Amino acid sequence: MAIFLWLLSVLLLPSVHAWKCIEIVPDSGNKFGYPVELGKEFTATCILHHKDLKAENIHWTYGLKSVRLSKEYYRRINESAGSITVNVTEDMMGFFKCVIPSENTIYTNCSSNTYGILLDKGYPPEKPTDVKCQAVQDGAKISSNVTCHWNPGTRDPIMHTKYTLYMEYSGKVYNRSATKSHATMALEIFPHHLDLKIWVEVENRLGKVTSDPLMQESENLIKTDPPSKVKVTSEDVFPMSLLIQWTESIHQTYVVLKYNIRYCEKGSHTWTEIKVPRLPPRVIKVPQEDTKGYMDSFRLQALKPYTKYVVQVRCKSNKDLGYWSDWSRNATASTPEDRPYTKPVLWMNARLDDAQRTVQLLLKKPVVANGKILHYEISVVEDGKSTKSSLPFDDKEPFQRFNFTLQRQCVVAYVNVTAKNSAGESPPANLAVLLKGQELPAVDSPFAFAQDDFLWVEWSAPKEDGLVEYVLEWVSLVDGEWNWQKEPRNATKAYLKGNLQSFVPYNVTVVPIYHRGWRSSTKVIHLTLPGNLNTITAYLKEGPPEVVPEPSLVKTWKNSAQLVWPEIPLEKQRGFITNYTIVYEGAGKRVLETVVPLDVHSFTLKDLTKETSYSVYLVASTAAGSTRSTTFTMTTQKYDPGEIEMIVVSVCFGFLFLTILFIRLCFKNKETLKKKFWPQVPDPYNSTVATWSPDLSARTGTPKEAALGDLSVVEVDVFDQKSLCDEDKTSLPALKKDKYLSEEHSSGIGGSSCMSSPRQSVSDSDEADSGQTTASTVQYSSVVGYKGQTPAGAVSSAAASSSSSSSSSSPATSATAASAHTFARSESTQPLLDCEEQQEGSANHHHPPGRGSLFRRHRGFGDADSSGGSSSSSGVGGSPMHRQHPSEQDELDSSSLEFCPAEEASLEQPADQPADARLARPPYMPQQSGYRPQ
Amino acid sequence: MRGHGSSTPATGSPSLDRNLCVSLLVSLLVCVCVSSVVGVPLAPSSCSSLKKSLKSARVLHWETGQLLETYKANQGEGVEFICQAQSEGVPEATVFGQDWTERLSGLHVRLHEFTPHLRHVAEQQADLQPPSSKLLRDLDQVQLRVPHLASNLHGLLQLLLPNSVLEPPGPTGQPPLPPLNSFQQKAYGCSVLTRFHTFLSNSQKELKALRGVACKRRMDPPSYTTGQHRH
Repeated sequence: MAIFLWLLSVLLLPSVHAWKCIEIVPDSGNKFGYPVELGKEFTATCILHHKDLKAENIHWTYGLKSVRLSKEYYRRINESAGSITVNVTEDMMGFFKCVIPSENTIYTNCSSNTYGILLDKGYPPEKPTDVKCQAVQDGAKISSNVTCHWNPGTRDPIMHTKYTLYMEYSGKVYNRSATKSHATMALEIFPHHLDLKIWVEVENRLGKVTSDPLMQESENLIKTDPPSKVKVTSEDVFPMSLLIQWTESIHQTYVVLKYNIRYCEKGSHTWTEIKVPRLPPRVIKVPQEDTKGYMDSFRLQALKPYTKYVVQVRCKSNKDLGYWSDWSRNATASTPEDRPYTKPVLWMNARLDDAQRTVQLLLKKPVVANGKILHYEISVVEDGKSTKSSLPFDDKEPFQRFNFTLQRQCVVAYVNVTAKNSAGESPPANLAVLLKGQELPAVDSPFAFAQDDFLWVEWSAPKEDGLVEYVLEWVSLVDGEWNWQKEPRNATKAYLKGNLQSFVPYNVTVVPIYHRGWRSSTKVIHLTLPGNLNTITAYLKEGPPEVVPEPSLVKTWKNSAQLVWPEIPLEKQRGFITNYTIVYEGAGKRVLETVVPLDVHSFTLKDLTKETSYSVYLVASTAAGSTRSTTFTMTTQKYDPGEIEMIVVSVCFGFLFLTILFIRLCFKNKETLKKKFWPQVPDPYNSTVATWSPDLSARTGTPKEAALGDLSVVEVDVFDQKSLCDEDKTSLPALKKDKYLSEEHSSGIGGSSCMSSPRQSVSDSDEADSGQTTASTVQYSSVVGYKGQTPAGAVSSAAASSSSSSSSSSPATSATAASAHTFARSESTQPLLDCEEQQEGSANHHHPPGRGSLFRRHRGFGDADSSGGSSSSSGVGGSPMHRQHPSEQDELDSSSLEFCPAEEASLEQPADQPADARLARPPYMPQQSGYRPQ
Repeated sequence: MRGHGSSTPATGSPSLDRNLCVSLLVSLLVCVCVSSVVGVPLAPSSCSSLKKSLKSARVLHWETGQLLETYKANQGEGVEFICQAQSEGVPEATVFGQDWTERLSGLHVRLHEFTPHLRHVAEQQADLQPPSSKLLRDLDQVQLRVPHLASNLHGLLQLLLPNSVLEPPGPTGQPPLPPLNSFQQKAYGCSVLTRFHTFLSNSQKELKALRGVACKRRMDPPSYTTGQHRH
């Protein structure tokens, strides 16, 4: 290497110096370049060593690209020298050059027209601060290696900087090259109990600086190992204490230590730290092999019995110099058992009625059990009579049950329970059975809420004296899991201490427990009594429903549809359902929503468009969100049910109405239509000429009369002195006149014989009369008789009817009727009705067949006459009955129509009729009644 | 300061007197330099200095005791017999002087007298023990610890007797000349270590006895007489 440098200098230096016409002061000096501080001004002078070179021709550049510096920084010193002053920046890379234009050096022997120097840019070192040193324990002694750290400052010096750590003691100074922020000084031996001076020196080409010296006793540097052989021992006689023993990590000749102990229950990470005073009264200091140090001990007190503890120890110089050691490794031990400090926790489920008085006692071990509970001692006291039982403890269940039945109808009943472990017995707990009539108030307005992953219950305390505590009982409504806990009397809220599940509904019951004194015969017993229950339902955490059933379509109409959906199963509700929302969207229509209350599970969508397909789904919401069902499609109807039928019926009814109207019109105008379409043509075949025979009686019952059949026989009053001819001659006009006076008209065809009116006959005869008066027309006769009917009955009937009606008209009419002619009629006749036959029969019964109609007529009249003035009065003035309105008369006629055979017979039956005559009637009565339905 | 640091005291001096003088001068200079450190308060009290001296003596006594055990353990059978043998030239373990000033100075001088003997024992054992043996390490450690105690005692002397001139120790500190046979070496080593251990024990007692003086006179500089030191 040296040879190479020599050769290089031999080869290069002559060439440089022989023709070096330009030089910069200061020169680089070495490979690092000339040190310059960033941000500060730097002045370089360019010296020209040739007379032909002029300072005014100098220009300065820097960097690989030879960036030319502005001439404003130039300064001409003399003819052969010029300088430049610039602010040093980081971008000044490469050579900083002084350049003479080449044309000025053409005629010189200068090897180069340029000279450059390198700049070593950076900052001077910053003063180190916060120097800290540490010497850790190595084996049984403190290590001779001392490690120091310091803060080198925030500014990077950029250029090469040297850090040196110095340490001075006993008149000797030791140093050690360091990194930027730390170093380890390797001493011959750790200087115990000596004053040390420690400092850091930082140096680079721009300067040197030292930290403030750290003057301290060497013990300030010591960090010992943690105490070794930490042992924790329990003593049965001290259930709340643990003895801790350890061995000092370093001999007290070097460092006198003090200790800290920390402990916690196993599984917990909450440490309790205590300072162990030096040589406290209870510390036992035991020499442990004189040369190997001492074992210290300390007794932890006020611990929980039957609890496993973890203990750690650390140490430090008792002069509070140096550093705390690390914590020792865990040492674990359990405190011994002690008797339970608290009562067992009681609650009960009582089923009390007159027949069954069973109580289920619920037991939890004491909160401070201080050991493993072995069994419970249970005393059931009824009115001072005690029954004792023992229940082995079972730690597999969160609580145990004990059932007992009250044996008598006691006034007061309670249980006393103690829990026992190997060290002793707990204080007794009692709870009274709530009997009838002992109800105590419940808490007010319980309210549940979730916070920090716990379900909290808040309530208002009841305004009742003697409140002791509360019982919180909760049960899962999904799987029935339940548990309970107690809270102190001053609590108004508590969280449920159990493994409650999210999205599961719980029934939470708050029960206040009261204190009551019961005075027995010898003493006052203080008991606790439960108050009334107050239950609410709550969720630890709500979520949207797990599933929502798809609504089913019950029925659709033209503009509506009825949906129904089942209730969401409780375990899938995952929260309180707030409402349901039915979302439906018709094809090409906007989405519609309808919100329905949570208790509604059927709904009819209205205002739908007919014959349209709708997509429908159901959304169930809770406070935590919503879930939608699957979508189903429905289509509305084109017509509502019954709409078509309504139209058809309406049309039919319209048609029927029109038909009826048409028929009615046709009937109304039947004569016109008849005349128009079926003009009347006389039937010569059925035309007869009335027989006017004075010896009508002689021909009564003749075959000829029977042969007439359809012909009626006109009554002829045989007692009239005038001949029929004559009467006929005189009566015709009267008949004619009477015909025109009569406004009544009855159907001549098919009419009942009972209703047959002489006037009708007269009317008909009027036609006949009209026929008689017209030579070209056929004369008609009136139909007054019927097929198979004897003229006498007919005449009798007709005569009775005529006498009642026509007599009121006028006497002339009556006379005319009395002298009525017999006509034959050409029109066809209807068959005789049975009742008419009946009437006829009845009439025949009254009037023996051997007698002619004329006689019957006469007799009738005779009867009338026999009644004296009554008959005439009825004929002239008329009885009230005869003065009735025609319609009433019709009704009477009708009624007589219905019961005519018997009534007429009875009416016409004289009161003094002989008994044999009345007895002769019965053979016909069954027949009459048999025909009534007609 | 670095110049002072480069001249290590009390090691390798040809004579005990010269070493002592040099070490005292150096200690004085160091004290001057330390006290001149800018911004660093340095106000060692005689009481604290006494305590440090006492602690240093205790450490050295402890380590010497360890060393002696190790030494005996490494000498094989009959070590008790060996250690009972008397060796000449070994400094006495007692502290001389009429009053506390003489005794304190004598303690300082006697400590320096042991230094070459300890080194000689180490050299002898270096020939008998493997390099990595605990005995050699402990011997080195004790040798290295002696200047620490000397430094503390010197500081205490400077505080209690600032105008006294500490003369170098006399020729009594001269170690015996070789050659010695193996038994003599063992007996010599045991005698040196035993006496040194006893001396340190006595030193602790002397220092403890000075508590009343050093800690009481903190505010009242002690009156002392010069030129009465025994050599």
